[in-house]
Amino acid sequence: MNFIRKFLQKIEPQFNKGAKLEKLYPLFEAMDTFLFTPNDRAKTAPFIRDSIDLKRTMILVVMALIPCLLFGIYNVGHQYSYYNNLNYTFFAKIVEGLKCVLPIYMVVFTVGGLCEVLFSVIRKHEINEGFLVTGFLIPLIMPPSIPLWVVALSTVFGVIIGKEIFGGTGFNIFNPALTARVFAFFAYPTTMSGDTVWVWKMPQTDGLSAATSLLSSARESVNNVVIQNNTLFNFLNGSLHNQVVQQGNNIGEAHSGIDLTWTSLFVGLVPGSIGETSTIAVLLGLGLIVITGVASIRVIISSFIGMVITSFLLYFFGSAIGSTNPMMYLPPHYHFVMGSFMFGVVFMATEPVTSTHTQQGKIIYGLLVGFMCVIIRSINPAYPEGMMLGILFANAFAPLIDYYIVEKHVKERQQRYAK
Amino acid sequence: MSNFKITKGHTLILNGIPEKKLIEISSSDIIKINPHDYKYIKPKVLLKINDEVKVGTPIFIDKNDPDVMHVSPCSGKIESIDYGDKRKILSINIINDKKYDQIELLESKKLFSISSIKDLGNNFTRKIINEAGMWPLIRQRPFSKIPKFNSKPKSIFISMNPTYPLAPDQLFILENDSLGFVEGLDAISNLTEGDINLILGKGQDPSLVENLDKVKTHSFSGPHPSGNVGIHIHYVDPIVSKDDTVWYLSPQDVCKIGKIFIDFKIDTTKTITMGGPGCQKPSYLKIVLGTKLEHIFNELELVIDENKILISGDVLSGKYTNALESLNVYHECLSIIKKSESRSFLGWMLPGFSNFTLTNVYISKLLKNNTTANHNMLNGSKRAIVPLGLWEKVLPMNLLPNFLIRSILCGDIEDMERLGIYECSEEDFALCSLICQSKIEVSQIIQDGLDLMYLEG
Repeated sequence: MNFIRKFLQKIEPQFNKGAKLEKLYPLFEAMDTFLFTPNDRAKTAPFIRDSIDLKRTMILVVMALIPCLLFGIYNVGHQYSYYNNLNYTFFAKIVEGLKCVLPIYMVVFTVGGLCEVLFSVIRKHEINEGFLVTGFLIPLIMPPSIPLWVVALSTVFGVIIGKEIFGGTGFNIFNPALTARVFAFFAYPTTMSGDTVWVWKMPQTDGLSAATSLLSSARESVNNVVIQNNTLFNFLNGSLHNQVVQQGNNIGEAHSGIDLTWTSLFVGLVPGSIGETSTIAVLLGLGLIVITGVASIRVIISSFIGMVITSFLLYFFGSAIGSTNPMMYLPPHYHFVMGSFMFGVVFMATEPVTSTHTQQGKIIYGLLVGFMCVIIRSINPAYPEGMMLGILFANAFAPLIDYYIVEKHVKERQQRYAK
Repeated sequence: MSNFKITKGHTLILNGIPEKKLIEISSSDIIKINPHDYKYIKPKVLLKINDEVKVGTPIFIDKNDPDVMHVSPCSGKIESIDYGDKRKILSINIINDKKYDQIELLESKKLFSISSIKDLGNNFTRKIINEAGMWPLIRQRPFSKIPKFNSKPKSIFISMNPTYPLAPDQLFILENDSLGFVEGLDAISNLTEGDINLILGKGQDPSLVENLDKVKTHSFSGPHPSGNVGIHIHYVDPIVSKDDTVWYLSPQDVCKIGKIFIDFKIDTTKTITMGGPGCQKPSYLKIVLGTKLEHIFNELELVIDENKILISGDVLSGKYTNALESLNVYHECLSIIKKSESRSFLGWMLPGFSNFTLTNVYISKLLKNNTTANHNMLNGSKRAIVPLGLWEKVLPMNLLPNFLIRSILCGDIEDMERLGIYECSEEDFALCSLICQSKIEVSQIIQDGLDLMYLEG
């Protein structure tokens, strides 16, 4: 690799202060440190530094996302072949999936990368590697059939409004990838919701529906449904929920036609956003980022607990008032595999900058994520996917949670010393 | 005796651990004194060039606290005084005649017996210590500075178990010269109404100080920084406010103070360790304070070329220095590390089979090949704070480092106070800067915060 090193050394003077290409120094710096570990030395003590840097932590998140990406590519092809009755082979499905996913990635990285470079040149700071993760996440949380111009617009929105106006990576208050998605969701709802956007090149036949698991189990409260046997046992094994959905299907008010067994949702060969459907793939990634310490296990566990508690609460509440909303009766293990719960918890909620900065706060924050997700999913049928809004909501509350934890810490210190 | 078990932190292991063999370095021709080894000092030189000095002759004072004497460690005459910008005094060079004639200690002439050191009283003890120029050996927290001459601490700490890399084994030093240790403890116990807290490491025997009232022993075990005095104070007698001071000094300085009370002799030597991956002869050295490093290297026939980096103090909290300088008066360690020029290709993406890291992000951790560090590369570029929780992992104090650092960065004095800035010292946060993935200079920021608090008060 010596010749690259020599080449970089040769062109470096042109980017230095006072030289012709001074303004493009961030670009040179990014390329230089991308290829070789930086040449900086410790100016003050300690004189020995760890090998970890932000690039490394970011690339680990990207590595953890690879199972989701690979599964997503396959699943896009699989759904395409299923709904078009094509009986594709394994490889054909992957090729079809790539045709859908690659252009989205290209758009995201071109548009987002340009925004990053523009900001770093204007602001004269180094190009941050934060976009590596954001850019990798955005396509995974978009529906396969999303128009590329919507992807481009929401990436710009996510990078600029979600991150750069606050000062860049480390200063943002909302997760940039989720900001991008929420922009598309509210600005172009037809491309982001309904029962036809979740499959790539969905045939435009009347009556054909490919709803996400959540959409097919949610829908508006079904009328004329009699709730029977609402025991805790029936709630836990899912039969109570099935009963409500089934009755709704019989009246024709709910969606049907999707395999809603727990195993199939766990594996993830169902319609949905590109990278979020498979819980197995997410769990693989979870292993990597938790072991390496990049993601906080506290957030993950407490989100899970928050989700379980809330689903129980809703069951008790729903059966007390005799609600006919099927989501009220969805047992926790279904919440776990449906929609993007796990994907959101592992890759979005754990983002260190936008979650709480105190260790105790992370537990409250996680509980809030789980709680808000299930509440939005169940109570508000207009937004079947509550994870996105749940996390953004918790992001907004993170500074407040931190504030109270810090106040508590200060009070404890004062009490300890008063003795 | 109370036991404290520290779990957070990491004991950094460097190559070149000093061999337990004490080498006496002969007197050098020039003794170099750097007044700015003492924090927050405004030195005023009392002598002119060519003035004769003896051991114990006051050389300069601090304008802020003129009672405290800074004395000469050798006899001879002043060779030169180096000035920097705005006539800041950088160093005072003394030609050493190697006779070590000592001034007469007036206060000590008043006779007393060794057994009655305890009854000397606060004022008299202070005067004796100060006259011999030993007062600056004592430091106070907060601020790690010389305490005011007329102040009283709530307690005094003496730590016997330094855990920083290449730290000297204090018991080994005492084995070689423990004269005055008990007398020194007796003397400094006159300086406070509180306790003398002697901190022992794991397996160290407290019998050394048996039967001394006022001396309490505590045992601290666990990884670095469990040997830092800041951690000991935090657990044993925490600092609440700016005026709530605790003093501390090193065991060998206790001996020096004790020696004045035994035979009125001013001891100007010091035992240090020298080691590190760039050092060919890692060992314990006995030097005269102010000895230039080049003198040590010449005597030991060490080759210090441009590929080696000299650090006065340890690699975690020391300062860059060069062969023409002398060791900082408070440092008990001289570290020599290597310079590295190699920049690894796509290092951030590779598995990293031999990368030095305390985290789990490289495979080297799995292979247990992650402990060798011998150069001063930053291994990354500076970024904004991304709170991954790494600082908290290596800081065994009940503090919120993330919020403390932010309050310092925005100069919010009230918040800094509430979050416990007075308990902090930059050396306790060294591991935070070491492990930080955004390469934030945590210890430097803590130091800046303390400077701000000092100036404001």
